[in-house]
Amino acid sequence: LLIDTGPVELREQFGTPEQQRESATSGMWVFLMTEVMMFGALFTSFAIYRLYYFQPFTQGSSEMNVVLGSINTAVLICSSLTMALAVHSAASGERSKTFWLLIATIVIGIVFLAIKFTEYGQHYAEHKVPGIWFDSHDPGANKIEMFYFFYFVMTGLHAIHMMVGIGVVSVLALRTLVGRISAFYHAPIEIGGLYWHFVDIVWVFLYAIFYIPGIHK
Amino acid sequence: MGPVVSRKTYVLTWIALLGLTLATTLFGYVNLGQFSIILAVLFAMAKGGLIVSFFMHAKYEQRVIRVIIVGGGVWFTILFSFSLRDYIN
Repeated sequence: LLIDTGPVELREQFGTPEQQRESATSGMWVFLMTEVMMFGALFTSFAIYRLYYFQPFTQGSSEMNVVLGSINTAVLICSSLTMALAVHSAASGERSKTFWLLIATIVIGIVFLAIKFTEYGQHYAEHKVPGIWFDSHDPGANKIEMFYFFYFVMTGLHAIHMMVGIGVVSVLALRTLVGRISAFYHAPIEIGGLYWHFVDIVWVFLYAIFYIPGIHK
Repeated sequence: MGPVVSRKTYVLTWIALLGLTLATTLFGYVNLGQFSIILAVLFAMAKGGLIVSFFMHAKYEQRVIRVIIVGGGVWFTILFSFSLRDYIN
């Protein structure tokens, strides 16, 4: 990843850095659409179960920690801002600024995961781990358990994406540090940014379906 | 190649996103029954739209990117609506 491949890392199949950037960007967007389909299948299944088990799913949602969930949404939105500003700095050729904005993105991403795992810890302490340790006196207990299955699978898959994102941004920060990114060719930062923002969008929807429907209770 | 979106636009998008998050949470406290999740998802779609348009600068991209995004949206709509059709009826 850090090997020198020429003055602007222009691959031989491309005529100009601009053409290379366009190919890379459209490739990333196609990949993100496959991600939409993967998360989309989960969102669709969730919608169907929620139609069937409206009350138990609202009950499950009311057991969520809204304070931590809301803070985490704000945290992730802040990380998207630092990522977007990093792209801006990279395009302007401000290397040290780009590096520190990427580091800030990584740190905020880690804060998100720390809060998320704190929540998981709370669910464990409250015996709300589906399949392993699930206690509930509610008559619809197994349906509430289904809610938790969706919750753990979807937020877990999202957390894995966050870890991948942190890895990607770390490599980008390293490449910026050693001078592999310039105003002339900064597509890697843009592409990494697209992935980061996409993961942010997924969380925005997860927050809407898991935390919001039960908070009035 | 300079930056396509200004810092000011990014900051304004960020403020709008935080505002919409606050609105999502506050409206959640109103008991709207089945509609509370629909309203929350509508807010999420507005936020997603802002992120895609400005943070991911899709608004400023060439046409092929928009075709890819619309394509993804269409396929997801097919997946979602055709699956749900069986259960709603």
